[in-house]
Amino acid sequence: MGTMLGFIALVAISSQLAPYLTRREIFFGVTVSRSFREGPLARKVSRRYAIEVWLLAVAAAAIVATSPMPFVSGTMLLGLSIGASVAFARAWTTVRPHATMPTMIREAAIGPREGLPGGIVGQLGPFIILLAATAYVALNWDNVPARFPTHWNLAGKADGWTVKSVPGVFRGLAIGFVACTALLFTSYAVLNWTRLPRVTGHDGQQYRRVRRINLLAQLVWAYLMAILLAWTTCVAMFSANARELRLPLVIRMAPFALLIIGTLLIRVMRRTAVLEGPPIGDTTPDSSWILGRLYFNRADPTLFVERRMGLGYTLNLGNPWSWLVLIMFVTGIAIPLLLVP
Amino acid sequence: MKPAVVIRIDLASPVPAYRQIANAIRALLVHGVFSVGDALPTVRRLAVDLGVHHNTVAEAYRVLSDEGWLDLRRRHGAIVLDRSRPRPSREARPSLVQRLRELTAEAQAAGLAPGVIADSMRAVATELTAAKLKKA
Repeated sequence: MGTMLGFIALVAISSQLAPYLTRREIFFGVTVSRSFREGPLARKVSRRYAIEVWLLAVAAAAIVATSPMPFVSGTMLLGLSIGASVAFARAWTTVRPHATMPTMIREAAIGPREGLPGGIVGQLGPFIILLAATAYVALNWDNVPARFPTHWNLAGKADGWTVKSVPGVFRGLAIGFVACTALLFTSYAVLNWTRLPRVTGHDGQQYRRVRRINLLAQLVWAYLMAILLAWTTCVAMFSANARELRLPLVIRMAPFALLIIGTLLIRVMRRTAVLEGPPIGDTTPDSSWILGRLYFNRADPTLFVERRMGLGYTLNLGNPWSWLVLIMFVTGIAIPLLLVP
Repeated sequence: MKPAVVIRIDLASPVPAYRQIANAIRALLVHGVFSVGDALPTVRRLAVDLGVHHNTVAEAYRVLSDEGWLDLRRRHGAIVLDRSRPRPSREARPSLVQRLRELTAEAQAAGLAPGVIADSMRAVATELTAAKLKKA
């Protein structure tokens, strides 16, 4: 119960912070002037959004605390996330008519591109961990129990079991490979197929640092996933007391800690950027954003763009290649899941 | 190629984007920022960086190629050329052959035997080859 309430609080805090984890000139997914951002309407929108998110969180917590049904917790978390998205969409609709035209200056640096954080060895680390786990299981195949845990609830307790079979044993690792490949591909694409709003001066330096932090966060995320899946395969699967085995707290909390620290750091760095004159924005037109979340621009050749809310990047759905990328990753995740009944 | 060379364009300017890109790169070329044989960014990469359509960058590269600055090779991007010797246009060679034909016809009309004309042309060709070898 306590853990679940903690998760609800985390989702509420993340939702509360998310609209502000973006460039300084972007307010609820819309490029606005400084006067608007500091004006009464902006304050009213912020206040209303905060009230809606926290009312939803209190309602979810109350239902979780009073309901005896086991599936309520997950449903309430999902409901809180959807509710926060609706609240964001309402705020976006209010702000949208006040969008301002950002500068149309574009800069490109010609020269060698910077490399991925950690270099090739650092980037391949998660794959090596997954490969080692795969080799360990393959070498100890005879010791794999007939039934083993494959899913843990938010409290860290095993709640999903699978019988011994090749797809059942290797499903988690296969999903890990697909997910790590997706992260590596995204990092490469972000470095090579996205643009920086500025490449010169103090702003250019700040934007590069923000991109670096995003890439580092992706790398850490890949390591966390690989370690988690290696643990579930090499430790949990072979444990004699799997029913009582709990997911280590550090693994449960690490993604949230990473998310909060990363987003706060980016927020601080974006606030420190010195911006003068018309807003620089993120070099994407406001008209190409659907509800401030989905980017669709056929005229933009880029594959990924920075999200306008929260950490990371999103696909340019107007680029036909983005659909291929989506299909490949969804298929890559779906196949291992469908292989196991 | 030297690092941290920046191209800057203004999409709100009345000057077309492809012209701004061509002007910016030409200025860098004139100032010797690039060496002969350097590869410029691919059309796709520069288009992504500047947030313009591929065709806009491709057009800018074509302008510079027509001026003799760049060699646009398929799959190899744009290579900086030595512009001290302007790149001949596509019509240059057929035009030269046509002029040579007209000249030989004129010489024949003036009474020179075809063999003499051929010997004369061979002598000129030998001189050209010698000059090329000397330069090499």
